Amino acid sequence: MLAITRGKTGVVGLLRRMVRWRVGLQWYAAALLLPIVVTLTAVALNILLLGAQPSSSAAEFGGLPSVIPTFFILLLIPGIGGAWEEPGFRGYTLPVLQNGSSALFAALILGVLWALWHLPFYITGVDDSSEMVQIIAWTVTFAWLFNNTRGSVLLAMMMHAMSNTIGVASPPKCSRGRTQ
Amino acid sequence: MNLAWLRGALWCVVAIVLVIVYGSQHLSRKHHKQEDSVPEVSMASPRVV
Repeated sequence: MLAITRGKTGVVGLLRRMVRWRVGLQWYAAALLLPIVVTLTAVALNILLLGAQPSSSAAEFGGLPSVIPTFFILLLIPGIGGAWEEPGFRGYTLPVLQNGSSALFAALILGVLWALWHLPFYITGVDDSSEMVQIIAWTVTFAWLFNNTRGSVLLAMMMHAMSNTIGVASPPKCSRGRTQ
Repeated sequence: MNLAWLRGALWCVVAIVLVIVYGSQHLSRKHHKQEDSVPEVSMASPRVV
């Protein structure tokens, strides 16, 4: 699409954004730690407020070291885990939607498109339907990260990979008698 | 309500806080929103004979 609409210049520009790593450390922290903090907070609230049973099995926590390799696998291998959706959603679509409209409005429109992209997963039950809400909220967070890093697709990919890594790792540990 | 819904709700809280703190126009205080820029078409300067 980019090659058709913007030619070689557009493709080179996107590739540069995919390796734009010179951003402040705080943005790396935001991309990597925010998904962890949100997920751990949700787990804590689930236990404290909703009475979910925390796992006492040390064996289950033995999986934690696998978070780092899983993160790199999701980040580096196209087609696994969704991080490689970012060149399309953040690298191409978000800047187009932000032309002439606010970042929030563009993010919300992209959120709906992103949710529709995942619709087959909700219909077939692969993903929980609650993720539609999460995805629309995510697009605002991703737009914030993207605009503050002068359009770094790399940071968006890192946040996506970490969100999926920690999201896949955490739910089964504290479910409330619900099979996931 | 389960963990997935809780997480979705927390991401909504994060998004709302970001909009309040950074503003809806650019979601950033330092940088303008990243817009799609149409590549400039280079035109040959007229030849003076």
